[in-house]
Amino acid sequence: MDLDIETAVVEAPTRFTKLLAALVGMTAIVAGLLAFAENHASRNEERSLLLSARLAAEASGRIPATQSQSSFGLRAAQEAIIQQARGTARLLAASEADLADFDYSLALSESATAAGERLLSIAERMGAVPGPDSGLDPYTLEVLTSGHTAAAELVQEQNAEVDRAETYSRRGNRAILGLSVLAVAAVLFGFAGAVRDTRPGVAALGMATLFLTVSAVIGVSAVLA
Amino acid sequence: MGESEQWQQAPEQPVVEGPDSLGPAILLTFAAVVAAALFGRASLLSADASDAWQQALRQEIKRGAAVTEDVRYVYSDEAPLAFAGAGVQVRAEEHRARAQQESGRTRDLLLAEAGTDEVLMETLTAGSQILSDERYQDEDGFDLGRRLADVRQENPDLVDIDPDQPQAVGDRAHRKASTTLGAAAVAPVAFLLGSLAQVFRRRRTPLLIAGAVVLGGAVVAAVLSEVVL
Repeated sequence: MDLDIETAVVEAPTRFTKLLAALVGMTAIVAGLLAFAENHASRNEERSLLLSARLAAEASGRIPATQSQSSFGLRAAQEAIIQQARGTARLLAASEADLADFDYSLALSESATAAGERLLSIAERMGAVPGPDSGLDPYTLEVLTSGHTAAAELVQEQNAEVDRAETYSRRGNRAILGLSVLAVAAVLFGFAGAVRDTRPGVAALGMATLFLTVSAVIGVSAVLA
Repeated sequence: MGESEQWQQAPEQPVVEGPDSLGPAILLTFAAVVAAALFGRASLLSADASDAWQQALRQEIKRGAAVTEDVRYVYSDEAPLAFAGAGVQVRAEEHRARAQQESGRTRDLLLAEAGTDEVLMETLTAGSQILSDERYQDEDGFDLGRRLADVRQENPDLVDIDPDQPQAVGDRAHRKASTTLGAAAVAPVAFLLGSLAQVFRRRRTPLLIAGAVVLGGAVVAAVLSEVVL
């Protein structure tokens, strides 16, 4: 009697198969984490770079604006002082030259000196930073009020953002390296799955596990960098 | 060998563990789909963030250029002429005031000087917005702050530029992208659980349930980040 027993033969998972399944699952997790790390680092790097560019643009706008305003004040004060000095110089020159119109020179020099004193006061007022009652928009007012100090702080902040961008760039590069190593591990896992529980399969599984471990270590270093 | 010996020496059969389940395959499929969808959504959000930050940079450059030019125009182009006019005006007033205290030729010469300055003032006024407009007259001198405010308001759209707004929009999109990415990074845990469910059949059901919970949690986290952030 020849009995054909037809059964739904399902091969029981071996230790090799179970280990392979677990490691493939771990590979997926490490891939997800590395992808997150790379994307997060590259977005933050981009943000820091754009922010540093924005800070540089702001500083380069503030410096000439405050310079225009302060330069005018300085020049106006200088002109007022010259005006004052001219009055005195006129008097000295007239007395030394012993002019016939000395009375006129004296009167002219005194009125010129008085005009110079008023002009100095005018120069201080016109050269001063505008106040809140000038009707200026808040940003322009803040630019003129803060002066060169704010520009220097912006430059410092800009340098900090550049440093931050470099840190994120390092992290992103390490994450990409981790993904590259992980890709090799994935290929070796695939090969191990194809050849199954044979010597080449076990060797491939071992190498793949090593690459997976290296990839995970690189990923951790990417986060901690 | 007789038939009974053939029957007793039946070939070895592998262990039959019953029909295979589609559960792990379904879980793995869903895990892949959810991860792909979340990564895709995070990419879109990252692109939005990048666009917003670029716009913030462009607006910062535009705003800075507008302020620099307006301040330069008032303080480098208009203000020196206005100050010169203030000097001429003050000199004329002082000469005329001093002339009141003098007599004869000295008085006449001082008045002539004052007259010269007044004629010059008329010439300067014709060529200066600040000198000719009474709104900029100060107690002594001219109000450059008010003039700068008026010059700025000639281009109100440039005054209204606020780069912090697109910066905030970009930062918000960036936060959403980070949270969505985090949820996407959790989805592969369901992949692991599905893989284990395929090979550990006695624990298949709890593993599948755990995988479904993880996937559901990832989706809920992503949806919450869209709504809350």
